[in-house]
Amino acid sequence: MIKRVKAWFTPHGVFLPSGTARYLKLIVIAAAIIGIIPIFTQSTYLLTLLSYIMIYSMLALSIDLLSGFMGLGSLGHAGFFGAAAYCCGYLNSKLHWGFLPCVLATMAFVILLAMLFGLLTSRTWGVTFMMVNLALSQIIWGLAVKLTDITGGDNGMVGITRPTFLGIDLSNDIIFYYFLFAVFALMFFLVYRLVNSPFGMGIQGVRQSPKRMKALGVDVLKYKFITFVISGTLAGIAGMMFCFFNCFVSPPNINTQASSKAFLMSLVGGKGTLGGSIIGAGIVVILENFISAYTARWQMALGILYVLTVTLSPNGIIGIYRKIRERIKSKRDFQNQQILSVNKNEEKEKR
Amino acid sequence: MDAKFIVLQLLNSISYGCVLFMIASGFSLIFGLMKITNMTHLVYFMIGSYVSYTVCVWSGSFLLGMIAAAAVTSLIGYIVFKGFLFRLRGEGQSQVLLCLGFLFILDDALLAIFGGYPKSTPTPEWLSGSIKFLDFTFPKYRLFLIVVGVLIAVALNLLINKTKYGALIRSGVDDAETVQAMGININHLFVVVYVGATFLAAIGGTLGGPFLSMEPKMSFTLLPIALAIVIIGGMGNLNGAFYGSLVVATIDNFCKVLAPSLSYFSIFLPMALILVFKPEGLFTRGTRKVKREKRGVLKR
Repeated sequence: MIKRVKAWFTPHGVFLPSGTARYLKLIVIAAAIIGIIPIFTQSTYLLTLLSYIMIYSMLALSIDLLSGFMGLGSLGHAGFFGAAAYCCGYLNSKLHWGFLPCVLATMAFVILLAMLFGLLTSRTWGVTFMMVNLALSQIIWGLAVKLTDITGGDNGMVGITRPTFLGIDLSNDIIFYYFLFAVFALMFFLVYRLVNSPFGMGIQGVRQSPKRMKALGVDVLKYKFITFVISGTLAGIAGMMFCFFNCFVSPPNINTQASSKAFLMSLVGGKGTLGGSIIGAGIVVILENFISAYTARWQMALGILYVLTVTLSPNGIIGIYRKIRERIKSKRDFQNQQILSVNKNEEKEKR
Repeated sequence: MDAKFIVLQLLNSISYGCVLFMIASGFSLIFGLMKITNMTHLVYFMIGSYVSYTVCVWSGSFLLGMIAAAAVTSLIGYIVFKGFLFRLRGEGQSQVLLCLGFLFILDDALLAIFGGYPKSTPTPEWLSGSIKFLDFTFPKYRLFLIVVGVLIAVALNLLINKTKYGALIRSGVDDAETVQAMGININHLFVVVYVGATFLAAIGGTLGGPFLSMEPKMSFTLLPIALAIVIIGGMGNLNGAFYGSLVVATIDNFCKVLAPSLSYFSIFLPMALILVFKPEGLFTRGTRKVKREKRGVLKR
C-alpha cells in the first residue's frame, strides 16, 4: 500500500517533473509577489481579496483535478467545501476543540463523505455524473438549512474563532495570510506532482479513452473513485480554510450558485491546466467584488460569464494564449522556411 | 393520522405531482433525445408562472394568461435553443454549462423585474372554493389540476406512442444517429421537441401559479426535485417521468407534513438507493446494457 502511494508520487527521474523548468521562473516570481504584498500594504481589502483568491483557487484546483484531468465535470464541489466548513466550524465554535484535532476530525469526516458520494456516483459518467453530483451537494445544502440546531440554519454558523497553531496566533490577518499561502503552495505542489505522476497519467488516460485503459489492465472505476475522494478532500481543505478565514459559514456559501461559481473558475482559466484554475479564481473573485460593489446583478453576470466562456473559449484563457502562441509560431516557421528557401535559391544561382 | 388525513394528503400529492410532471416530462424527453440536461427548463416554468400572473392580474382572465405565458416562454426557449444550444450539439458538458448560464441569467432577470416577494396568481372564479364529497372537503382548483394533469399525460402518451412524430421521438431517444441516417431531419425534430417541452413547462407554470407561491429562487429549489424525478423514473421516458413525479410528490408532501425538518432530504434517499441498486432508473425500456448506456452508466 505504502509502496503504491509512493509510486504515484515518484517523479520521472528528477525532483520536478519534466517541463517544469519553463514555468519555474514564473511560479517563483508570482510567489514572491504574493509573499511580499503584506509588507508594503496593510490594506485589509487587498489582503482579504487575495486570501479569498487563494481559498477559491484551492477549490478550483480540486475541481480541475476531476473535470480537467479526469474529464468528469462536477457541479457539486461546494458540497464538500461546505460540509468541511460546517464541520470545522461546529467543532471550533460549539465544542471548542483546538486547531489540530479540529483539522484532523474534519479531514476524516470529509474523506468519509467523499467515499460515500464516490460510491454513489461511481457508476455514472458524463452529464449524468454531473447531475448526480449536483443533487448530492443539494442534500448537504438542505441539511445546512434545515438542521438549525447544529448549523444555525439560514442565519449561518457564528462564533468561529481562529485558533493558535504551534504557538502562532492565527487571529492576526497577516499571519493567517501567510499561513494560507503556505497551505495553498503545499497543495498546489502536491496536485502538480500527482497530476504528473504515473497515477496522474492514468487519470488522463481514463479521460481520453476508458476502454483502452481497461484493455491495458487499469481498474478504471478504482481510478475514478480514488480521484473523486482526493478531489473531495482537497475541496474540504479549501472549505476548512474558508471557515477559519471568514469565521462565518452560511448556506449561500455552499449552494448551487457557489458550486457553479467554483466550476466556472476552473473553466475560465482553462481546464486541465493547474495554473488556469488560479487565474480563473482570480478573475471570478475580483469580478464578483467589483460587480457586487455597483449592482445586485452578480448572478446575471455569472450567467453571462458562463455563456461567454462556453461559446467563445471552451479551453479558457490559457487555451486562447496557447492558440495565439501556436499561430505566431507557425507564422514564424513559415517565414523562416521562406527565408531558407530564398537563401537556397540564391546559393543555387551563385553556383 | 387517520384515513381521512391520508386520503386528503394523497390527493394533494397527486395534484402536486401533476404540476411536477409538466416540468419533468419535457426535462426527461430533452435529456433522452438530445442528451442535454436542460436546467433552463425550471426557469421556463418560472417565466411561465410569472407571465401568466402578470397577464392574469392585468386582464383578469386565466386563459389569456396561459396563452401569453406559453407564447412568451416558447419564444424564449426557441431563441435559447436556436441561438446557443444548437450550435454546441454533441458537446454534452458545454451544453449543460450553457443551460446553467441561462438559468442564472433568466432567474436573476426575473428577480430584477418582479422582485423577491412571493406571489400567487389569483385563482379563477369558477375554480375557487371547494367541493364537498361525503365528509371530505377538497379545493376545486386541486381537483382541476389532477384532471388537467392526467389529461395532458394521456395526450402526451398518445402523441408519443401512436403518432408518426412520436415514433420519431422514440427512435431518436434510442439512437439518434440511425434516425438521421434514414434520411430524417433530426435537427428539425430537436427544435420541435425543445420548443414543445418549453411550451409544456409554461403551461405547468401557469397551472402551478395559484397553487405554489412563486419566488425567483424557486428554480433552484425545483432543480434537484426535477433531477430526482428523472433519476428515479429513467431518462427519456414519459411513463417514467409520470410515475417518478407522483412518487417524488407523495414523498415530499408527506414529509412536509409529518417531518418538516427532513422535507428536503427525504426525496434524496430513494434517489440514492436507486442510484446504487438500479442506476438505469425504474422505468427505462430496453435490455440492461442498452438501459445503462442510455443513462450514461456505461461510457459509450
